[in-house]
Amino acid sequence: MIQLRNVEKTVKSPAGTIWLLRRINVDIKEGEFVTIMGPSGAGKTTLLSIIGMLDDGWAGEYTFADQPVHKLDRKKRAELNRRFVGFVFQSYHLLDNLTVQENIDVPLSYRDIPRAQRASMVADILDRFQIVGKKDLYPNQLSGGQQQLVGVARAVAGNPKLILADEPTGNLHSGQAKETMELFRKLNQQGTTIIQVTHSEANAAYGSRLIQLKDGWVVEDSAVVPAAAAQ
Amino acid sequence: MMGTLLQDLRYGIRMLRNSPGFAAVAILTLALGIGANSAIFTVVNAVLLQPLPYSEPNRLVYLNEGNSGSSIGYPNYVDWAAQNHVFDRIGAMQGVSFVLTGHNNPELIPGNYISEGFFPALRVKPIMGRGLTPADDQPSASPVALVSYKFWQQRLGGDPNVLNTVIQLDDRAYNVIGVMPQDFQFPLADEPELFVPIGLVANTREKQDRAKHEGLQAIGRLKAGVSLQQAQSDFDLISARLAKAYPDVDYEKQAELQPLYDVTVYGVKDWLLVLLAAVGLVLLIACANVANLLLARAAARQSEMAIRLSLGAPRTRLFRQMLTESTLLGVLGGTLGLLLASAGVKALLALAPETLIRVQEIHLNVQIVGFTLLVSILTGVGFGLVPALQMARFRGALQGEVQKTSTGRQLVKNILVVAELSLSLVLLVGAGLLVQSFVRFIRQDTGFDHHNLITTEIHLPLNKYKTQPELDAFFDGLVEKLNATPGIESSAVSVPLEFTGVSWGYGFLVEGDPFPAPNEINYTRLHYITPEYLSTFKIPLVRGRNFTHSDNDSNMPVALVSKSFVQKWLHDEDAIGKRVRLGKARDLASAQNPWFTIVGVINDVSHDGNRWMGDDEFLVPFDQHQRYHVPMTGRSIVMRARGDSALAVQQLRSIVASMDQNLPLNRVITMDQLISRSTVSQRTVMFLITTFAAVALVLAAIGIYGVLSFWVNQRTREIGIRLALGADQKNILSVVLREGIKLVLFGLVIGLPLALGLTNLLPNILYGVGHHDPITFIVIVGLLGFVAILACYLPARRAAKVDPMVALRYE
Repeated sequence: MIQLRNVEKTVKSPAGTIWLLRRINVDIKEGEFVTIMGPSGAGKTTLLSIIGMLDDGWAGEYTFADQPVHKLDRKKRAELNRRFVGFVFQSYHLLDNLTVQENIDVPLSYRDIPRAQRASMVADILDRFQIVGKKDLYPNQLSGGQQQLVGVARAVAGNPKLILADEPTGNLHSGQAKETMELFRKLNQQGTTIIQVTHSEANAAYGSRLIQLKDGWVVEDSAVVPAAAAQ
Repeated sequence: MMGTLLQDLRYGIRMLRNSPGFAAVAILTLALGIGANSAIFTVVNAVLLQPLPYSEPNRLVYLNEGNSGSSIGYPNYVDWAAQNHVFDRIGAMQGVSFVLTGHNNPELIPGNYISEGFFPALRVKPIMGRGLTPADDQPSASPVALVSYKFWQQRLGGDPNVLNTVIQLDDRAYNVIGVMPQDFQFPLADEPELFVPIGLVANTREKQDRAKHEGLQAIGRLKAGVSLQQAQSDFDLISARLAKAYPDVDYEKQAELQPLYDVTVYGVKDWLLVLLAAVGLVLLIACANVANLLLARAAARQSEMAIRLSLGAPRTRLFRQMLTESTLLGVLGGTLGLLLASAGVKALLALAPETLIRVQEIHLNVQIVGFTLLVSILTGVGFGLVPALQMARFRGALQGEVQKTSTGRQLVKNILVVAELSLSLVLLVGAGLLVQSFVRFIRQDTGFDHHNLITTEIHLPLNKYKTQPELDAFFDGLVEKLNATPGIESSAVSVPLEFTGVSWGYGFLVEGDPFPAPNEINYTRLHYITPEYLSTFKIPLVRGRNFTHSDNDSNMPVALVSKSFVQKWLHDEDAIGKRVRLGKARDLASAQNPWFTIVGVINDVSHDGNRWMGDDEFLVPFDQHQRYHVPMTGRSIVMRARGDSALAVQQLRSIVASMDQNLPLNRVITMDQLISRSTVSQRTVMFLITTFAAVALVLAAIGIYGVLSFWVNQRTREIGIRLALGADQKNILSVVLREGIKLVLFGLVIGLPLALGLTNLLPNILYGVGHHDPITFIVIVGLLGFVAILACYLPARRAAKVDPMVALRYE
């Protein structure tokens, strides 16, 4: 599903060029649950943004679902993102002035889906995530766990093939974190490819593969032993 | 207290120095608003607010004859002066031009006949010599003259021994008995240089005729404790008495008294108030803009305020700090505004119409500086209040409070920008109406070919040309000689001359119509011409015949009328052969009053630019005019040059000099220039209002740009999230534009009824366009909408270019 070949990213600073990513060569197959770990500044979020096609300024080759992303313009990349990718953020990033229902509708509204169909898709998601009772509440009326639940619901609303999660449990206490990770596991089991960035070993254990980054380099790419997930 | 205030001030200066961009925009915006106000206020102050430059000016009253135009028959004035019980002093004045000879070339000098009481009524004394005595003001008196300071300096070389110098006016010797003060201002717009006793001409046929109105006006100084109403009652009694004594001429005349001040500001006041309102709107818009800028800065300074609060700063201190900064901005803007105003006043004076009174008093002075300082401080406090209150209420430590404050701030900013847009709409609509009106005005068909026409006015001294035939002979001879000159295609006499601001309304009766009551008389424009008038002006004769030189006193009185006259007063029937009588109610019924037979119909001709009198016109030949009018000593000559205009003027001068070497040519000017001058008031006001409206439009555009930029800054995170969730640039553009369009629509919805209401207050001089002209409204709404949406587009485009990474980095 994803092939990264010699992907590199630099930024200019007064002190000179800073390398954020160096010669990244990674293949991710459909249905994988990949965890990206590493210290702060290792390039995890940058890599996630490139994979999510939110970042334009990089070099190398990137193929997504057989599409050469490196050859596509910004508009086509956005189109790919819309069709295949869902995002889950650490701070949930729900839009404050929209209700739960409206928040879930936001990504659908960008996909040229007729209003009636969108309404039924949102209703479906609300039902699936058992948050029908909260559909008219605003984000600040929800707990952190509930907000992230809505965040995940929003990410999967458009039936994405790939979910990118950046520190999805960073702002949650352990109970809520576990529920969220269980949700990811379930989605993965239903066929959705998941790539998460995390500092948490426990979260990493839900994945099937671990990529370690350091100073922009991939320093480790290994399978996760199933036993870890049981912890 | 003083110490902390200074500290606030120092800190404020440092803050402005640290944000030069913000400071420059804010100070310039305020300077535009305050400068425009100071400039217009300078004029308003001099013209409207300052008392007239005479002692106890509120006791000065202007008198005229209410039902007969404005001027007073001289015998009536004499009776008023003798019979009234309400004035300390009363004085007459009548504008007149004198031909000054004996000093280089003959020159026409503006002057006034005045009665002996005129200067005492104003309480003005000569700086040298003496004023008039009752003995001077007699027909048999030895001729004396008072001269203006300017005349003394320019014509008499400022000679300290000028008293008893003899000057030749209209071929008569006058003894100079006094020089008026340098700062003396004549009560009306003109600037006479010579003052001659009216008594010297009191025995002339015209001055003896109670029915004649030669432009005599009067002013009186009320006795202490007498009100205007009491004075009016006294004059009502006198008028009734005179009407009884002279039923033939005074039956419908009523003395009309009004404060002299009202007369001096008539026609100017409305426009100055409109301009003042316009600059007031500009200042409000500027304030709203700067308040918005300060609100945006307040958002950026929240952490500074949080630190100050955590260090124990009382909220009142924060409030004062913010207010000190905004007042500082106001004063800096005001200072720059004063410089702009100084240049603006000079420009205004250059643009000002000749009829603007008290021009010499229009300059920046302590009062204006005080006004500007006051406006600056009030402005500073005004636009600083909301941001200061918001900042003082801010609770920095609580995250939720930050959110609330910024939401409230956005609401205030939205309200401010909506107000800006609606006020701009009002100004723009006003400007739009004026521009439309002006364009129609200058594009109007004058009804004649005004290019290549040269005009001048020749004034014959009555002392030399004593009788009507002598006067007529001179002008007939002049026209004849001009028409025989190769460089001149054609020439004619036309009184009153087109586009000089003079129009004579005359009562008339069409034969067969019932005799009207005095208050039901119809008026039309009366015009005296020579037979060459139509060919010189190239005015087509629509029906009938032109005048000929045989249309004189020996033959039947004849007239030409304009097409509008036929439509308006003759119900579009065939005009030829119809008979019309001129005069007042009783004249119209008088069998002695002859009928004028209409012999021709001409195209409509515009006379006064504004067409206040309408296009209906009644033209009579000069050779028959003495039946009804005083001998016209001053007449306008109009000639059409064949090629070189300068040569034609030269030929005119030499012909006039060959006929009478002591005759000056007054005001040699082309008809095109006259037309241009006749529009100077409209042009000035239109130019100013349009300039102010353009400033308002730019400020409103900056305002909406600022508000949306702030909105985009506040929502960078949201925009990033939306982009991360799949929104494309178009989606983001539309979100921001929607926000902007909402504001624009609100502004238009509030501004439209405001504009509809306020344009009603525009003085009624719009030409050919209604106060609610739909085209103007549609175009202006479109223009404002377009500019505002353009201003929205820039922040919207910036929003669309937000890097979605920011959403992820917000962690």
